[in-house]
Amino acid sequence: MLCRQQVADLAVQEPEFAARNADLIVIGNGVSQHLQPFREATGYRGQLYTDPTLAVYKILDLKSGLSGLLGMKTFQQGFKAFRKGVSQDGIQGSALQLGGALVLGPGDTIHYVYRSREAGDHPPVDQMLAACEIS
Amino acid sequence: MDLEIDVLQELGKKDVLDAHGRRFRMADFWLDRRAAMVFVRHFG
Repeated sequence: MLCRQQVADLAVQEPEFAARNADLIVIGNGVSQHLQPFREATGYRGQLYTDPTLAVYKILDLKSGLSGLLGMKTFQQGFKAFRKGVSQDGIQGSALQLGGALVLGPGDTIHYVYRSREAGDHPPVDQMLAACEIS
Repeated sequence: MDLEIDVLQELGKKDVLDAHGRRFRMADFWLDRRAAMVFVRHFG
């Protein structure tokens, strides 16, 4: 539910990334067959990929485990998504895995790194957009 | 930034899959463009 809301919000912001000459790319961790239903549920039309082995998440040291699911933000964001009518049809991917964000490039240049501390702790889009403007 | 360059280079060697199971090399996303990448918890 929280991930659907997060990506539905990103779908609205996608033109802002394009206006900054940045590609918005969403990566999850279920199997490939989960991508199309997720796209339909969120309205996100941009680049969407999956890392079913979680290798990328591990390299980035993105948090995983039960402790990340029990914070106040998890409940706040879950309630917010529920009020917006966002539903969840089970978990497609790792239920214990948390997310994050990067703004990179061109080349091996790092502009922004964000690691979620708990479910519902999403990378602030305004910070990502600001990182896209760094020359 | 809280990401070492060697970690970034290791990340760049990994592949992700699209909806058809096609592989895409991570480093190609930021080779000649700025890439804003969001890693979601799951597809639920």
